[in-house]
Amino acid sequence: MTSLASLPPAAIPPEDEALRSQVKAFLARQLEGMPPERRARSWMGSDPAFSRALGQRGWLGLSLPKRYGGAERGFFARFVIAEELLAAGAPVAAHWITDRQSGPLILRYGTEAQRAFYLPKISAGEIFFCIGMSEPNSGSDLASVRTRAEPLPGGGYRLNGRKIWTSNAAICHYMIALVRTSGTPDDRQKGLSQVIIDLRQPGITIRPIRDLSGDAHFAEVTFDDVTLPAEALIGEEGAGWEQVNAELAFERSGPERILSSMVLVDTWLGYLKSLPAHGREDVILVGRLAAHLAALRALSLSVTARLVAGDSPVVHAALVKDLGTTYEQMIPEAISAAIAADPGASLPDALVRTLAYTVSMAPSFSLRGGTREILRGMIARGIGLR
Amino acid sequence: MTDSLIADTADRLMAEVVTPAAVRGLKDRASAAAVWAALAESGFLDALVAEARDGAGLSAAETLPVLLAAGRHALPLPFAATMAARAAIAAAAETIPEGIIAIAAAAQTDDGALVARVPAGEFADMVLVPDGDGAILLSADAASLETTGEGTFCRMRWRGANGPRLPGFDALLAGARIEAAEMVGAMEAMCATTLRYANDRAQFGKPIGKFQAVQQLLALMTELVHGARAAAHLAAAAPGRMEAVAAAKVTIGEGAAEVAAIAHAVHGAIGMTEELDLHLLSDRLRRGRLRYGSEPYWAERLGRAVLAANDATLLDFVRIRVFS
Repeated sequence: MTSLASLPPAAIPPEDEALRSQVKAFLARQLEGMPPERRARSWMGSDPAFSRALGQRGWLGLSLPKRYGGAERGFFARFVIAEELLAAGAPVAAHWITDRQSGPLILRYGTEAQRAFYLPKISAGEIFFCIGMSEPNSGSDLASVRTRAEPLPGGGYRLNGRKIWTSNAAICHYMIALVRTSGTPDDRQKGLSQVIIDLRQPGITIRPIRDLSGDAHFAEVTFDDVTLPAEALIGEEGAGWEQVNAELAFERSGPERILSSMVLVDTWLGYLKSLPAHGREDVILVGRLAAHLAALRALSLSVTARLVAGDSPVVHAALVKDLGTTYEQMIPEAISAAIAADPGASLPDALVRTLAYTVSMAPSFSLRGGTREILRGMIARGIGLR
Repeated sequence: MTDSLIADTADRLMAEVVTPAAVRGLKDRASAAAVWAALAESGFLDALVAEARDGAGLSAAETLPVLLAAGRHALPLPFAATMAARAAIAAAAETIPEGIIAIAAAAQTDDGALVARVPAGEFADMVLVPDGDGAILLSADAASLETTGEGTFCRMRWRGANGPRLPGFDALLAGARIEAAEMVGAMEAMCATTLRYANDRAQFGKPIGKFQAVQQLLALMTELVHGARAAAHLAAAAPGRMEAVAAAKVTIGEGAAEVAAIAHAVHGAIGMTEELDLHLLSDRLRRGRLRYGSEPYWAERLGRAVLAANDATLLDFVRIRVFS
């Protein structure tokens, strides 16, 4: 039996906190007039021009070294900027995954040539990456992926297979995919590698999939005899599984696992503040939302401090994500109950539309990036039960 | 002392002195004498007292490990409350009294008498009672005392109450913060003991902790304990701030209910026995939730503060008023 180490509290360093007011001022200009139901898309809403504008201000690639065009500021700077972008509901999807995990992945595992080629463009907001993990028959059981990059005599690979639920594939320039480079699906975690795929090559078909809210942010991507150069391999051949898991620690512990419903919260608070008086139950719900946000933020900050220290806190990140997405999902349910408690209440249209979007997307909060049940299984392993 | 030295010392002290048998034997002032003497000898009582008054001058954050350790052992005595009270009394330039000091949650006058609801009042030699915008230190000897027998509150009544005043001491706020921190300790112990049980208890030919349904519960319990501990840290870092203490009492109270439910679900029937120590912890959590305002009380105060503030977003409110 092992218990999971408790993490000491952590605070954002003042020089990173100082970024906040600039980001706020920028967002106030950029998002002026954007209705809440659009801002509620949070990190699902995309606007490549907006992402490039962030890059021009030096707010992408915050953890990357200066020699690759980065800001060399680290995870707390990214935390501050991410919080402000998400709280405001900025359309960040174009660069989000690239900035959060592709850049750090290329820095950690890439060759010098790969770093020099990709990282400056990532920091400038000029190129976007999507993540090719899930396949039609490989969801939670990611190690069963069948997309195959067959090594070619004389170097390079021939790629065949299909990825699905790939967010933003249609607007991305590259995909970092987990593929099989040797062995068979029975070899499970062995024989998997990560490759960088230029999505403009022949043999690639990207079919957007419409989601239940009417957006088409994810897609199915088919590879039909696509030729990849030897330099497509990122990291070590056969080490894809370990690399993907390290990447997930970046993906699971940040503010995006806490703030997905925040535009709805602030829209509701705006409505409440316009009322002359408040029912006790509404006030209590407001207090609960604030209390849980505070505790979750503290926990997320302490995991961020572990990333800064160079650890890969995979189990702690899973824990933040499960608690955080539970909070994100509780919000639309609780606000639904609250605003319609009086059948005669006259509700602002924008609030109802924002609620409708958030309620409809809420199930995905605990699916994307590892389902709740898979995360709890990881935590169970972390406390010695497996 | 470093954080881990304080934590290790407090853990050793509590493990040695606050045994389950000792906890079961604590009923009133007389039965508390031996345990209290051992705790007092540790030197922790003046950890928060300013150095100028011969204390250690530590902060609430630095002494949080002591509160967590007390909670892990379900200590019913107001040890952490006495620590806080001694520091407040010293800060008010009053003489620090000997003995156990409890902190009352609320007081009112009734037929000319002052009546207070005092968590752990049955053990107290002295009580800090809310009085106007501060508190007044009263001797328990001068009070008549009633308990309901289940240990949450003691009703104490003073006629002609008189004692030193502590201007500005918010008894409810201090009590809520301390109580919530000790609850986190109890949650930690519950989680550890439940994990141990799930590894030991076999059914269908294997430890029940090998079943996915049980694993999911234990994973959630682990998450809730980590979340609660983060909240206790927040309140300890800003002990005078209503918003931070409210956030802690709300989230810890809600988490405690879930953790206790999971612990009992996993333990099954044995967890329902007087013999097993588990109920010492679930009792500790039950009392903690009821004392110094439950979750809706603090959520309402926090919610009113959010609605009265002119912060642009809830994140701004939390960031500015809880964290900075």
